[in-house]
Amino acid sequence: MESSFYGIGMTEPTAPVEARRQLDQADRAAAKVAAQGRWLPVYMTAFGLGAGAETFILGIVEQRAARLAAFTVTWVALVVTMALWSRSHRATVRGAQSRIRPWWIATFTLYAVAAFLWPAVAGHAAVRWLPAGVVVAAPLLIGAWRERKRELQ
Amino acid sequence: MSGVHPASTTHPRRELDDLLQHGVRLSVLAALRAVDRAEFSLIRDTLQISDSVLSKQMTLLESAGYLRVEKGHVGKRPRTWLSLTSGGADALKRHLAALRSIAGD
Repeated sequence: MESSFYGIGMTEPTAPVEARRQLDQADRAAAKVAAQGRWLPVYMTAFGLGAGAETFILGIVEQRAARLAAFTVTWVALVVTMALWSRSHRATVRGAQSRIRPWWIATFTLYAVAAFLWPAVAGHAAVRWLPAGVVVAAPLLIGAWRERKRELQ
Repeated sequence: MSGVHPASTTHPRRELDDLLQHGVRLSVLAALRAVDRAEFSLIRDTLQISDSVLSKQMTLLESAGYLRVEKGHVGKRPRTWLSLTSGGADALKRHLAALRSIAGD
């Protein structure tokens, strides 16, 4: 199968109309592939919400064994699901990984603070762990919003 | 690939890259310009060409240093990833600029 649109025996594009046709063809190919690469905002949003929910659940569970089980099960489920989903995509927009890295670092730094320092302050009160979950999720959600905004420009 | 001539005396046609005057090769590089890398199957489907046509053109572009080809696996499935090299990006930029000049942009 070979598309005549992307014709193999293309003549030298000396004519303006032929040059214009090739430029349009190149733009269409770039746009189609770029569209397939625009999935990171959804990925970041899901991970942000997951990290926030994880923080909340860990905070309100009082029993140590139950907390450990909740930690393991929810993180494994989240990471495996997101890894499989990300691997199903066939392209990633240029430079996205480096752009989103700071948001990842921020969320996981806040998660570490919440996990190790916040319990001494908040105990297991849901009213204190809910805002903690929101704060942990915030960097990835902001990063996702910025990346989405950039894609739409 | 393209010759270097004084702009004032050279028709933009001479700035066209020989390798990229082929429609599939131009489209492959153009398709990769907005992504870090893309799977072979995505480029094949986007350009609506066969595996063999893309493989052949991919090899030529890789030999010219325009394209990077990485092979790996996702689970048990073999995958081939294509990405633009800096040389390929430069060649594409020059070629597109020459086309725009010819088109009168």
